[in-house]
Amino acid sequence: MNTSELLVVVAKKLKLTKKETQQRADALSEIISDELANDNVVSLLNIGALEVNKRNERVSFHPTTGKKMLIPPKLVVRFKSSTLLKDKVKSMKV
Amino acid sequence: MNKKINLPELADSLAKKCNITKKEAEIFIREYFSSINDALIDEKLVKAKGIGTFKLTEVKDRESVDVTSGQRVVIPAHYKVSFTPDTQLSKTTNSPFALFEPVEINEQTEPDLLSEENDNDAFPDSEENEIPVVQSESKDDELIVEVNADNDLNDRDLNDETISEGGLKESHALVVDEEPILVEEDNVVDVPVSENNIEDLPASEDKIEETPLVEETIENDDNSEDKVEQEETKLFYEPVEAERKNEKNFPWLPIISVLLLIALAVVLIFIYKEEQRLIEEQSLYVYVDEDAFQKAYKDGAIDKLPGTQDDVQEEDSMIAPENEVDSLINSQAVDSISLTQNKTLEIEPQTASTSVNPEQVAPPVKVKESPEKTENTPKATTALKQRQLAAGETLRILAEKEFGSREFWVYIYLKNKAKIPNPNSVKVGTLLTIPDKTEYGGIDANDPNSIKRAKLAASKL
Repeated sequence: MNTSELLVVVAKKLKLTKKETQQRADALSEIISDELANDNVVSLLNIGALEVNKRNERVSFHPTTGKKMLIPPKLVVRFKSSTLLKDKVKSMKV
Repeated sequence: MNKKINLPELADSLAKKCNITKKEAEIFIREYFSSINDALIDEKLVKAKGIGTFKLTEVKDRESVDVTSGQRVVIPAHYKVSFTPDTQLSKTTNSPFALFEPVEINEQTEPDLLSEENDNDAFPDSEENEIPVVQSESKDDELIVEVNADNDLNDRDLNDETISEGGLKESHALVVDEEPILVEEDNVVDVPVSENNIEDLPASEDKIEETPLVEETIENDDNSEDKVEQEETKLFYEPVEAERKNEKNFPWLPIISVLLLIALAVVLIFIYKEEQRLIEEQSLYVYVDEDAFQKAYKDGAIDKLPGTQDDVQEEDSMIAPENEVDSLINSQAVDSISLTQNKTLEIEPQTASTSVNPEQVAPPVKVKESPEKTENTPKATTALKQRQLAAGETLRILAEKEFGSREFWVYIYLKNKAKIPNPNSVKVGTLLTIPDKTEYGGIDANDPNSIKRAKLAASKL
């Protein structure tokens, strides 16, 4: 399911126009990204939480030239699934 | 920092942002996330723009050993939630580290340098660090040499003092002290001659001529140094013999020698002060002219200059023992030395500036800014866009903002070559003209050829 489909579902449930839902969803994602940029943990309610982790710099090899490269440190978003969702998903049959 | 943002906080900010009631916002957030949740379980893949993609990935069944019972257990295949953040989201969260890029490591790179980079979180790129490190080393070297010369002087002073202390006890010491004057005067004459060479040296701007001249002066120094050492050994031996002969002293002799000692101390203090003043001036000069010095160092011009200064200082320290003998000779010698030192000092920045060629600057990889804070005030002017470089911004980051790819930094540099002496270090607040997208054969981040051209232009620098 992609974003537009998701928005349609949400709009139908809340009886909102598509434009309104779009606006609110954009605002929400903006808030989330702002909070993450401030190094905060953002809870996604029943799904889980998003947090920021630091990946350390490391030395790696360029796959084609074989040269040593220093890969700089990086801040990545990490998703921590809630136990509720985790268990639910785990019990699903493949 | 590091707070947990829960539903109330989220709803609060959403309500403010969309001008809706807090309750509405809360309902929306609940519904939004539960829809994602439901869709994830139904369809195994949900894309939410601005946040990322949630996906259920399969985990194959595998065997494991129960920790407590030690029995083999088969963990059945199941799903797990995987999340890929939106590119926009990862970019904003990574913004503090945005200026870092992968850097190739030289095989010769010492492990020290690596650890240094790791310590230095603000500027972890080796290319960024390497150059300043080398420069600072060279400066340190120079300073150390200066200090050494100073120590030399002090050591010799100490020798002199021991000699004259021996002189306290005998009368012959005076005679002995005076004897070497003739020989040493020759040395004094010698030394200015070699200094003349040094004076000529920086004046002739040919770098090739510099080296032989410097060698000449070094040879001269060696000769004079030998002579002085011979004299010193004489000085050491003769007083010892004299000491035995003159156990019975005349009462006025100690007084004279004490006076002599005081005069010597005054002269030494004067020389020391003069020396310190010179060193201070020199260090000031180095500080003020740091930029020119660093560039000149890259071109290898300054490499030789500190050497010549060292020569002068070594001679300086060699003359020190003579000072004790005759204050007249001393002051003259010191004067001449201070003069030549001043001259070499004055000439240093000149040669530095003449030998600096902006095109010879090492190929730019990174831009380093001072951490000062200046306001980013974009200024739109007549024909071409102008921008002031903000703190933390590099040419590459600017190019990414303006053109969409960091490779186009070279065009910003070429456009502002007059304002950027060193593309690796652009001052914060520099007003930069952003080239038009039609210039340089077209600037287009979506065109691989355009990026290739930019890379080529950068490698030519």
